Amino acid sequence: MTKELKISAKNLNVFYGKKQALFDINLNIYANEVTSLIGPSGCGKSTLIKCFNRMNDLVDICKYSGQIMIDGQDINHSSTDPVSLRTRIGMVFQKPNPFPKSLYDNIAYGPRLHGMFNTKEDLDEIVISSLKKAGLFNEVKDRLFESGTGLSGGQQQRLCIARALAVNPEIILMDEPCSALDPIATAKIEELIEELKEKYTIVIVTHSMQQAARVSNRTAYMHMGELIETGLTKNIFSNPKHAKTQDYITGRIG
Amino acid sequence: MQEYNDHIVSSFDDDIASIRRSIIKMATLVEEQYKLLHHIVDTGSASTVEDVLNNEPKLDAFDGKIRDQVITFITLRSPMAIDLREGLAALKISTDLERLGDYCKNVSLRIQALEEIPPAEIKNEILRMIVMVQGQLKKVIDAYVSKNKDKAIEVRNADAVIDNQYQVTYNHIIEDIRKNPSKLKTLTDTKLLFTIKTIERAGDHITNIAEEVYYAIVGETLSTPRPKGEPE
Repeated sequence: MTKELKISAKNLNVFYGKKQALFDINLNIYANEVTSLIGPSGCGKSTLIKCFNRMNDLVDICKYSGQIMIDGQDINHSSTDPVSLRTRIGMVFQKPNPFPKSLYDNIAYGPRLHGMFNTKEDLDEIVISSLKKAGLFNEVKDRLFESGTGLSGGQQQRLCIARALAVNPEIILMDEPCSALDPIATAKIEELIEELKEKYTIVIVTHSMQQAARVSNRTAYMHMGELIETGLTKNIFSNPKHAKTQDYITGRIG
Repeated sequence: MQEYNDHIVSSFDDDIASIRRSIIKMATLVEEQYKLLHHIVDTGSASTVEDVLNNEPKLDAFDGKIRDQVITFITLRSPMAIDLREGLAALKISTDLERLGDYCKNVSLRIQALEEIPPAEIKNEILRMIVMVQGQLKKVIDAYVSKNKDKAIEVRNADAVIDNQYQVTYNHIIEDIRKNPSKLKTLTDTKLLFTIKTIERAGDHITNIAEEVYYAIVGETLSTPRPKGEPE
């Protein structure tokens, strides 16, 4: 079965001022798959996923060369509107970051900003279905108008996922989404990722190799700004081709 | 020779080293068993049969110990890739070594129970087969110790020599029965047929070990069909 290509980085170089952060990255990310980016701190994983939704635009000294194509379109082309691009791409961060608002308003924030509904009932429906997709609805249905910051860490993270889902994205970027969570909350997020990939394309940055092994279809190993090896997760973790990947996943001194 | 960097957590390397030491000790004991077997076939020494029987439970104990070491290693270290293969190879190799030990015991008892002294020619051929097994065993352990995939391939390919010797000896024993079909002769020769089959099977278990060593190093199954001796 040929997979549909969703995101494609072509000869991507990224610089922060004079420092080069990414070196000639070529990476394909396929639709309805989970792709993990792994590698030591500072290897460029987060920089790379921030290229996918043009978050690096917000960094003045950031310059790049090469292309990033989403659905075959160059996202850095002058005709691409970064705001509408970002509605297609949800993002979840390491530390859950709900707005200091009610659960309802957290999720309604994006749809309101983008005028994505006509009636109050429409908005209610978006909020409820987003919470359900994020596996949180049953736990919070009686306190939708309480503050989002009062939830547990794992619930807050699922709230952030629900908030990302509310604007109906195609791609979800997750930057270490479980690093602040306990194993049970982590398992819930991982189960959620498994369900979400049926509708969305997911890219996850993780420091947990076990997590990458558990949740992703494909894994890319990065080292000092270079993409060293990419392949099916089962191959990367059972028999990597590159010595640097082997050293990293087996915890050897590289 | 395949070498890897050390683990950042040095006790990870200690765990692997400890499993490897157990395998090597167990293999050394199996080598000793085959040395004793050679002596038994050569001299019929009853006390040496006792030695073989006394060593046998030690091999079982090694097998259990290695299984426990590997389970602990996998549980506590969550090894991946080469490290996981190393652990799993140790499990399988210890099973093959244990079986090699069993065969040694079986052959020793069978030789002890022979009705007649076997003809010199056949006895010498059986001794030759045992020497071949000893040589293969030594080589495969070398391949394991030095993580040398080429040596592992050599061992696998060399098993055909044992297969061929088995075939030759098989024919000689059958001929011996035909030539001199007394009841005692037939009983003796039947036991000798089982004996050489068991020794030939020992060669196969050494081949398994060679394939495990190769898989642990390379991460792929040795794909080409291994050379076989002539069919029976």
